[in-house]
Amino acid sequence: MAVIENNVGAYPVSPHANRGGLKAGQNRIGLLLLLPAAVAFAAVILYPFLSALGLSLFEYTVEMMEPRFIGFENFYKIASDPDVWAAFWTTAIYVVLTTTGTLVAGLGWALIMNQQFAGRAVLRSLSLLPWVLPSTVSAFIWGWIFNSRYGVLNALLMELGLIDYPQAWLSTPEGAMLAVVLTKIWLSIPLFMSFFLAGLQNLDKEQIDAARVDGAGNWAVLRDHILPHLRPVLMIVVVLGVIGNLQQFDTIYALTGGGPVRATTVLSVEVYRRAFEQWDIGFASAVGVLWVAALLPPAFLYLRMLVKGN
Amino acid sequence: MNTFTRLIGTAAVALALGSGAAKAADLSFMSFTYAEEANKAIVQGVLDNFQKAEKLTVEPLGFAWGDMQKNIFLRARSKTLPDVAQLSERWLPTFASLDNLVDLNTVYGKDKLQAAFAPDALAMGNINGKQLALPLLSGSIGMVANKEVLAKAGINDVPKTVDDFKKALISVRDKVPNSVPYSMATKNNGSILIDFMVWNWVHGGRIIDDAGKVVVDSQQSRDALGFMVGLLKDRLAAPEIDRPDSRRLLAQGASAFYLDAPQTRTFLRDFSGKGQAFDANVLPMPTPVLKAGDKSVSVQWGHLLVQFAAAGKAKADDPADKFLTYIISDKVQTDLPLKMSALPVTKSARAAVADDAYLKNWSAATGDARRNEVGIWSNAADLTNIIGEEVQGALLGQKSADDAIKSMQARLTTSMEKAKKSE
Amino acid sequence: MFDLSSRQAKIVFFAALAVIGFFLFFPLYWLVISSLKANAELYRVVPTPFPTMPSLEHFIRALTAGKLPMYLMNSLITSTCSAALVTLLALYAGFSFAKYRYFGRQPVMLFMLSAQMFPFGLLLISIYPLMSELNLLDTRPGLILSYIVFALPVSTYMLYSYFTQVPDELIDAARADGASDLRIFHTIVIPISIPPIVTVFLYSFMWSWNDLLYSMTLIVSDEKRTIGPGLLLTYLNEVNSDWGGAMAASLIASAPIVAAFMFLQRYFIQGVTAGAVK
Repeated sequence: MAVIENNVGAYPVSPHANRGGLKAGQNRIGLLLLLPAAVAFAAVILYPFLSALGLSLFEYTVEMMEPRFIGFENFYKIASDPDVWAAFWTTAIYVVLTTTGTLVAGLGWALIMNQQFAGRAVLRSLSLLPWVLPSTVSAFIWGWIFNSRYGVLNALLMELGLIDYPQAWLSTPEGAMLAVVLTKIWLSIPLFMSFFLAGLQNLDKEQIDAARVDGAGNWAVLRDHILPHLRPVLMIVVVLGVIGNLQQFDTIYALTGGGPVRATTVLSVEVYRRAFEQWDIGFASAVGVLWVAALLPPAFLYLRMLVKGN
Repeated sequence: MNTFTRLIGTAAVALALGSGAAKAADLSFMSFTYAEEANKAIVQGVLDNFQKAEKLTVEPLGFAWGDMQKNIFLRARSKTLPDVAQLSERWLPTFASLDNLVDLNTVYGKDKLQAAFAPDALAMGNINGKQLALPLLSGSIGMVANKEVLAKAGINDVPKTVDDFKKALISVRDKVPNSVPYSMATKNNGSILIDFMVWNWVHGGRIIDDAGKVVVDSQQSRDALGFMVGLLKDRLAAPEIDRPDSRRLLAQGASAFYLDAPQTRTFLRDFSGKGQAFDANVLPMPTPVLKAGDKSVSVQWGHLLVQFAAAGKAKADDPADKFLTYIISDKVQTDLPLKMSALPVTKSARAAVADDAYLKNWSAATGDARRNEVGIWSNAADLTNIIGEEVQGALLGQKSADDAIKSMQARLTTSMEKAKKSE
Repeated sequence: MFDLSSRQAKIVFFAALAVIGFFLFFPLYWLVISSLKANAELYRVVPTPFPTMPSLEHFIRALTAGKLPMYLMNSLITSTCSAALVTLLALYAGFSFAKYRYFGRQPVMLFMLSAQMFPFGLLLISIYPLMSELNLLDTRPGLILSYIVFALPVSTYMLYSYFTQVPDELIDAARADGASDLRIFHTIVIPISIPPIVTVFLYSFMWSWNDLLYSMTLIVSDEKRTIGPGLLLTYLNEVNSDWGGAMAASLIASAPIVAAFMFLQRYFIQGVTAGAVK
């Protein structure tokens, strides 16, 4: 088996692969294979989603034993609620910052880890650590670093003479956003690095050597060969990154709870707090539905492109 | 093939694990004290003794204080409420509309309860004439000082007025390096609410009047918030402080004052690492007043027990009610509240512990213990959020105190439109 | 890949290495040394760069006073099982999407994939009563099933993406020998798919392993609580903020999974290479 494993990349890709060469008569088996996943999907994803879709048309607060139908009133309320719009905006900022940050750092680190140097193997293994720590742990670490009284960040900056007295980072909107963004970037770098490293494995080295003979420098190699080669990886990594960052709840909740005031209240935190702290289930559902509505069209188009590309 | 079989195997084992764990306890008790490392053993002791006495088993459901409300709400929706639950006094109005909440007057009789309980304690569980909860322990949220830190700062008398208080804070700041003189709550809306409410009272303001009208837009409230902002500006208080941070700072001699319930002594023992030896430093004191001669204020505080039963109907010999009866018996009441550094709630138990020096000091410092004016409304969670956000906004310099008060008035007014009061 | 013979290239390379490396590893270093400081040294305004008097007090307390080993065990059980379940479901679904052509295949697949965008908190609102209806509230199976939400769509896509590259000839040849599709899948396709399977397993494992939201809501009993909420509830909450304990417990909590990962990471990267990203 080991032999097969290691040779998996060596199988010639069939010219029919993309068409799916199996006979039409087999399709029933295909559907059968899909069935378990489809059932699970319907039960824990589709049904809850539809149910939430329904709830968005109801008033359902803690004082009521049964929900009451109110049509689109929750959505009218959202339209005039600046807090919800602020949460959309905060989410956009968070997702853009974390995704680009991770892309740059992850790609950079993968390029470094792809270079031959002493100690690389050890570093590469250690690089995966941030990803495998439970997210609560990551939040603890960064919360401790950013701590206003005992944090090492303040000590470091004071040592360097950049600040005169300790700053309460997590109590300023920018500082808190910085903290949650850095935490997320930190714990996503390993995953992104792995994907980029994987992409770099089957880079055509001879082509690069040829380019070098023609006088291409490091920058030209990166721009003309490495980056174009990584394009498909980049596409999937962007999807995974955006999804993960949009859904991010754990580290933000554990680190800032969405504060100070509402500075780090992204949509995931907003929906959670509306639903499980203020118990306005109908309103929370409506916010969630709006979130899906805003995302689904671009997501669908992007995914279709991705799948077609296969 | 091998991997495949293993995968199936793991999945099967997964589903088998845990599913067979059927529980056969006579009643379930949901408690946040049970989830606290420092106090868990105390609750467990009560449950064990109850089992011995009544031959009934209790399934304890420990849940963090901050997660209790969410959990009860979810359980109400999924019809899996526990038989008995422990609540903070300010949560009761939020749950008052749940129709399986038992009116304990119907179980024990109003007269009997009034005969047994101290009136102030019993009142915390009374909503519109219905006894929806029995008190478990009580007290007030008032000011606590660290004697050792006061001595270091050269403060001999506890500050009586707000001006004295500020002077004391300044000497702490100047004489105790790296300290937070007053660990005012500046994080977590629920904690901020308490500090703001107290200072607002001290300055003569109200947030919401008895009729439900929002009255926070007043000069008094602006003064109160301005006072709090000033403390932060003068570095007499610090950002990023929640109640546990206050406790830790005080326990480590890095803070002189903060607001908390009497229970705080238990936490201070734990956090200081000195146990009961630390008690000597813990000084309950009257909250400073605006001008000499004013009456000092504090916030009524307590833990309650509620019972859930189908359609809210229960009898005194139901297991859950036997449990309640047991918990308010002298045996428990002269023991559990004391261990948790709080006042018992029955008349007899209070008489029995009247000599406890700490509780005596605490009561003496209580002054005018007022009902939490936000906690009595059914939309308390929403109100708390609004107040916490606006106060925090002003404290962190994102808006002026005046703007915060104005915005608070507007937002609270909207929220109060559909509020129900509980008394 | 890069030519580092020039001085300038070397400087840029090692500067980047230093900056990103510091960002990645300093927090880990800080975690380790903070956990080794006694409280007197830990709560100091100017922190010491390494413990002057290393102390194991936080570790001893974490292992004896709390329920850390139990939370850890719970997390390992639920995460392993849900990852196994997701991998299993995704295997068949991915193969089905990759190798069969039935009506509605692509829309169904796209819809399943887009579902990864559904807010987890929103789904939770309805998953809670669902689990309660099925009597799975506060049980491990309930949590395991709910965890499907996190990773099923992407896992299916990853395996689908890999299976599209498995040559049809391989399957057709076996079919000509009279093997059934299921048999072909089990005996031929799965054995050559180990690296991507490991990748998908680890990917979905990490989602459950990291979870705070679902576990915090669906699990009530202490005996079943997982590591995320367990840590939060024990060390940093309304009544406590024990940073030293939190750091030590974090290290202990991370140890087993770090060990397992060091062993599996070779497969992980191989798997990513082989399939998920083409």
